[in-house]
Amino acid sequence: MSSKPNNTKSKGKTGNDREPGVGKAPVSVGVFVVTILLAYWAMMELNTRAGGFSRYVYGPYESYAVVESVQPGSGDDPIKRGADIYRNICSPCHQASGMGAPGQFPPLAGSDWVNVEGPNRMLRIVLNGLGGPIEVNGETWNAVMPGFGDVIVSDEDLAAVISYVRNSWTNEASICTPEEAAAVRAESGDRGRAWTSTELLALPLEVQ
Amino acid sequence: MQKGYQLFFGILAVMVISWLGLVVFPTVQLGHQSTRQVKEIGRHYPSEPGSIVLNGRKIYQQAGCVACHTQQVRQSGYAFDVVLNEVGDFPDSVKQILVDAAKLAGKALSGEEASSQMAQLPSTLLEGVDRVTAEGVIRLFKDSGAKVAANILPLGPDIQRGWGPRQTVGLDYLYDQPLLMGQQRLGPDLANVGARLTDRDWHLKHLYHPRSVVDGSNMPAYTYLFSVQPIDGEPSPDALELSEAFSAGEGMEVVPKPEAHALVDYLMSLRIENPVFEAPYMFTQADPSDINNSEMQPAQ
Repeated sequence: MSSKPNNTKSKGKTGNDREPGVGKAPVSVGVFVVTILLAYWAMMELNTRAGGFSRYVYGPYESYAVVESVQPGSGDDPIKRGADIYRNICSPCHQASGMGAPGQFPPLAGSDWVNVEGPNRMLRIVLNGLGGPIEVNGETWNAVMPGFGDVIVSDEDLAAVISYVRNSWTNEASICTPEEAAAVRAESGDRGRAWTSTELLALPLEVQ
Repeated sequence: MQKGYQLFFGILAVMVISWLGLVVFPTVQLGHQSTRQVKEIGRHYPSEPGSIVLNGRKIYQQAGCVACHTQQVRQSGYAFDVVLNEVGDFPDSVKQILVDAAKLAGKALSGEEASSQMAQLPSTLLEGVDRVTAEGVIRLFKDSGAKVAANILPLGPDIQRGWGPRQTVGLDYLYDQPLLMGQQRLGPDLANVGARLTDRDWHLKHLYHPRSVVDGSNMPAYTYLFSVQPIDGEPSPDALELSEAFSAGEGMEVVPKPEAHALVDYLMSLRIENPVFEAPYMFTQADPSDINNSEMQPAQ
């Protein structure tokens, strides 16, 4: 076996005598363009049609979220119902991740106002809103949250969204029942003005 | 050889990429699954096959059933059934919404018809609609107090044929070793055959002579799984009751061998009627104890 580089250029030998060799030949730019386009197309296909490579996603379902949303009876699950309400009403400020926005909206994920025994104070904040300074996880925030008592009219929905927040991300707290929501709404639903954190801290954690 | 190392590493790269794509990534994605509690059937799924079923599985392999039968149900799409589950506290407004919704869909629904829909719950309002329509209809009922749900409806030719209520997923093959998924359909799919055909005698007759129970069947007869023997005094208790055209003759009877019973046990253990997370459908079976009862039957 010869490794002489001039073999490739040898014009003298023909046919079977010629040792095959490696040379350099110019390649059209089009080949690179087509390769990159193919790679791009393949990435797009994987991105949109591979279901996030989840073992729980089979066609024709597009993603894990779709599979989750079509589970039978999911409409009855308060947490899932709460997730819908949260997405529509709460997530513009507190974000889908529950992390809020620095300097503007306090986080709900891991918050020391959420991970407490009862939903009493949370229910009041959602119903009537909150104003003035409030300390969350050792940090002081000064923002105004409007009340959503006339947006979330059903006590079941109110309880569902509270339950969702109390059991999402890293939060682990009790489920809020529609009865608790109804009790708080009956007590302070027509209060007409926002709560302050000092007023709330004077109230018990659990619904009385 | 010139640039041998380039060739070597080029070929190695091609092999490694294929190995990653065909072996490693699928293992990471689908491997290491374990049985799961399925609340609709109140037990773990899939259950480990018993020894009788495993014996039957061997017969299934030996007889070459996998050459003509698949065990995979495919799904090509999905739709929703909109179902009214509860009327709630304001039946009058629910009735009005029903009438209005029908009007929107271009149908006329009288008040009496709406009342009769509300009287028989759960009542299916719409069948096989897409997600947008289903959610739109549910939104109409949002503040009425009625409970309306969109039930998932898997679609596809296999499901339309009645071969299974849902598609098969990786979890269904957890104990399928070696995999008997099959790739040719000269006969019907068997993924859910245990739930589709529950008559044990039917299966035995079908194995002995397929044409005796299915006209025009192209399945070969597996007569070697049966012994044709002269009736000795009393007929055997599990002799097949065959019609005149297929009987073994005067004074003879057809008795299934243990292999035939084992194969039928295996066939009757093939069930995918329980919903799983990745292949949801509306499960309505009332009696969960019926599932996998074939494992409890003695094989004689």
